[in-house]
Amino acid sequence: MANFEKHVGKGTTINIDGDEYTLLPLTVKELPLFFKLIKAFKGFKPDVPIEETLGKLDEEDVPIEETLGKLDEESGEVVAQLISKTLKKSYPETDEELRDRFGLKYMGVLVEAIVSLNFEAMEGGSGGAIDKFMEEEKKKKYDKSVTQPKG
Amino acid sequence: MISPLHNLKDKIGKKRLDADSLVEVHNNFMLVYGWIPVEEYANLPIPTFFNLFRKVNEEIDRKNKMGESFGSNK
Repeated sequence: MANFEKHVGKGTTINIDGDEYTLLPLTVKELPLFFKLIKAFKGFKPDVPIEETLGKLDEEDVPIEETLGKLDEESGEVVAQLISKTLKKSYPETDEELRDRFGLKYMGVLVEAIVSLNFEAMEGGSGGAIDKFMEEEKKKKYDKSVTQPKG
Repeated sequence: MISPLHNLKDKIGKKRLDADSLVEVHNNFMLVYGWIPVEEYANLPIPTFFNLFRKVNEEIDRKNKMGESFGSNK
């Protein structure tokens, strides 16, 4: 999607079981949820650097369900909220219960699309803030391993 | 006179983004663009937010470079 389309808040189209759905980006109000999600992905495997963990979302051979399955209850709730808010924003006229059931059934596809729609903008448009964040995390890990040698 | 953009790069470029820093970014956006009502800021689409964030950082870099070349960035 062109950057201008992203800038003006146009959504992304995904295909689920042959039907097309348009998901709209979330807003600054929901950014804290994304920050929680990043921490959640970082947290579920503390020995793996965050960039590797996030990178796994793009790898075809690691099903998103596997990643989601390793999240704790609180992080699972964050994912559910992100899906619920995105569906509500994208399809406000639909029945809430129906949206929730849809969100639950297609959680893997939806969370991947939502992270891509919003998170790619963070990576590409943050002026390196996310890169710096990842660098800091990496540096912290390195410093820890230098100052606290094993054994 | 030192531009309000002078040290903005340090504030929003190097700072790790978290929920609390969103307040600081709002303030910094206002320094650059003028008054932005809270409701409007909160309802910016996330890609728009990061595009503006990037542009502000680029502008700060540009101004800082200009300041350095004229020796006024002290």
